[in-house]
Amino acid sequence: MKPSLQAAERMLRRRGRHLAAGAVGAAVMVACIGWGARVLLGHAVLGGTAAHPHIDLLLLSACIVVLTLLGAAYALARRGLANDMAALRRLAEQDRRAERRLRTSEARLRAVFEQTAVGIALHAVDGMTVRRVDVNAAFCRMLGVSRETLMAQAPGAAVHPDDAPRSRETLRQLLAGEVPAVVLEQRYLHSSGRHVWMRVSASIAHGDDDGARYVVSVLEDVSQARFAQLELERARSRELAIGARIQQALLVSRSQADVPGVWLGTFNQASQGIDGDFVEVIRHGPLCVDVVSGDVMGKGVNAALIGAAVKMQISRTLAELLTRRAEQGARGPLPTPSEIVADVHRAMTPMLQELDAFVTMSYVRIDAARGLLTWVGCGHEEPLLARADGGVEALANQHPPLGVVDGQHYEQASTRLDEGDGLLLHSDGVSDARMPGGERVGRDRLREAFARAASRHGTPAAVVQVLRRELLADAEVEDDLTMVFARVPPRGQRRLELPRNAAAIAAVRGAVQKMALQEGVGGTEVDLFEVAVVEAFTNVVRHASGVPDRAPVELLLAPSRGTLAVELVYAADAYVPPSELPGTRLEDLPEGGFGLSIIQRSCDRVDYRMSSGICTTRLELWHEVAWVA
Amino acid sequence: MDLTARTEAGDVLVIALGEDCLDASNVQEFRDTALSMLHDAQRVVLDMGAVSFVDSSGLGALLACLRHVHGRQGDFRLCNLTGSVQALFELMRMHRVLHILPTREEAVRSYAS
Repeated sequence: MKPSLQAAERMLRRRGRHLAAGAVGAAVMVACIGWGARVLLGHAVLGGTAAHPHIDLLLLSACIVVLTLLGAAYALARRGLANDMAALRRLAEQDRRAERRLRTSEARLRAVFEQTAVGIALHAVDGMTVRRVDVNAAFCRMLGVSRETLMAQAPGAAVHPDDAPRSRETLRQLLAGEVPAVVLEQRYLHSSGRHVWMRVSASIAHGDDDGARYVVSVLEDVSQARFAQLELERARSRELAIGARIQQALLVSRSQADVPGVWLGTFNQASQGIDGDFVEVIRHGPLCVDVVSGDVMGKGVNAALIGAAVKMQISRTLAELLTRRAEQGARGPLPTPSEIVADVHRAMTPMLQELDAFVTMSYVRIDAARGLLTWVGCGHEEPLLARADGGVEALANQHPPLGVVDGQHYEQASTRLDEGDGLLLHSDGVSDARMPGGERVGRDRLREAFARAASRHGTPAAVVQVLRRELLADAEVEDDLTMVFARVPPRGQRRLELPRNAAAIAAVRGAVQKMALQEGVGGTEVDLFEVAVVEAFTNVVRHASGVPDRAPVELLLAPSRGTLAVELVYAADAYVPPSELPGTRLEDLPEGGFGLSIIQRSCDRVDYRMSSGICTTRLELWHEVAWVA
Repeated sequence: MDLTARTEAGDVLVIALGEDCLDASNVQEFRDTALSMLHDAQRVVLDMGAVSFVDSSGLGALLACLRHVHGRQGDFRLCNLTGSVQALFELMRMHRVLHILPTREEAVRSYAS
């Protein structure tokens, strides 16, 4: 029974005793008053004689009436008191039952708290901080520590250091009332040293005053699921990496920058790590090269395998046609693009139809010696030809994709190709990409951007990187992207496409030495010029910012009479060299700061240019006839 | 990194750099290996006879070696520089801080005088 009920019972009992005493007192008082009245009346009326029988009878009757009234009042008071006592006992009984229910409920909750499989932690809220109040056995088991150890730790002490900042921020949001509840997965440190992944569901428990009283956290060990998911992701990454390597090795030929008479630059980006876009470059001899760009319907490994098969068939077809000619004793011209495509079509169509697939393809032959461009278009995005005078022409498709129609007869078309002309082959992934506003890049926009890029920039990687930057930098790309740019370079110029990596320094040096040898110059000045070119390249490798992923550095060797000239062309943020070199005190034994000094002191002229995201550093060494070896 | 070390004339540590170049592509490896070889040596000769190319990062690494040896009150001398390397050293006035001798023998002997 509650203390208040016990006090009420004591008060009622006290009131009962007072009532009984009051009743007895009142009766005695009435008897005394009656006796006194009889004596007084006797003296006054009878003169001290014996009481008159009528007076006694009257007084006795009055006393009886008064006592009867008192008795009735007492009986009524007792009854009220008894009722109060009964009500009080009922209340006490109800109270005892409620207490029993509460104890049962608490025992049940404690059993749930202690015996549940999930971890539970209770933290008391004090403003924006919390204090650990209780943890259950499951939480202790999950971390491999005793309850005492866990209770002694500060809240959050067992959270993995890498996850702690996010955990603290989440708690802050919860306490600040920014979120009603949180669910997050984070790592906890197990006593064995390993970490345990937990899914934590936390919410605020409010008090009667509606204020935040507790943070209740329920923790579930999700390590197995998490590790399985990580393993799955790793397996998928491995598969994609293998696929990407296969794609780069089998489907997209590396830039053939050293094809004499033709500069080539390629860019490929698969939407799923591996795709059906493919590029093939076949060199037939000096100044003649076939470039093939294709796209297999679909994406993923299947499309890639079909792409690889088509590439292989092109090489096989070419070899067979050449062998057949040799057997017939023919020493004529090469098999034409239309002959090659027709044979590939014949060989591939049954397989493609069986697989319910088709392949779009542009097959282009660049014959720089004859100034002739010949192509066969099979449903692919039409190649764009930028003329040196700024005009752009689309090379129309003559045929549907390979594998669509049986017994197709293939035709080719030709156009002249002059020095400075540039050809862009691309997949539909470029024109289908969606720009930030949701609008497709589209063929018109691509054509305009290409016309600008081809007229401003001479080297293929620069053109490709400008298109990538202008059209695709912020675009949403759903399909594979492939761009191949080929250009007939100015006579006497040579180009190297290098990775932005210090390992390419040897190639840089070799190119400069070769140019000097071809120009018949040598000596100390050329040695130092070689160092200067390496310094300029190293500056790009180490310091260039804003370089797109996998964007190469182009080394353009452009000697002219009396001048060795090297240009480094690369996509990056603008670079402005300091107008004055920082003073370097050799006595301080500095370990850096020599590069720009070497460039300035070893070159006769150094120019830095920037145009639409393409940086060009040009270094010149002017040589005299007296240097000729 | 082709670096070989031996002691001559008692306490002169002679290190031969067997690489064709000392540039950004291999300078970190040179620096780590050379500094571990130098350890607490006080008389050091670096034979650069095989090196035909040095760039600014190579110069920086050589000055790091010099600084290391100077820190132990020692000296770090170079010898056998090829023409192109010599030209770069002259261009950058390196002879003002680096003691350069024509041959290994002269470099070792220079510590005796």
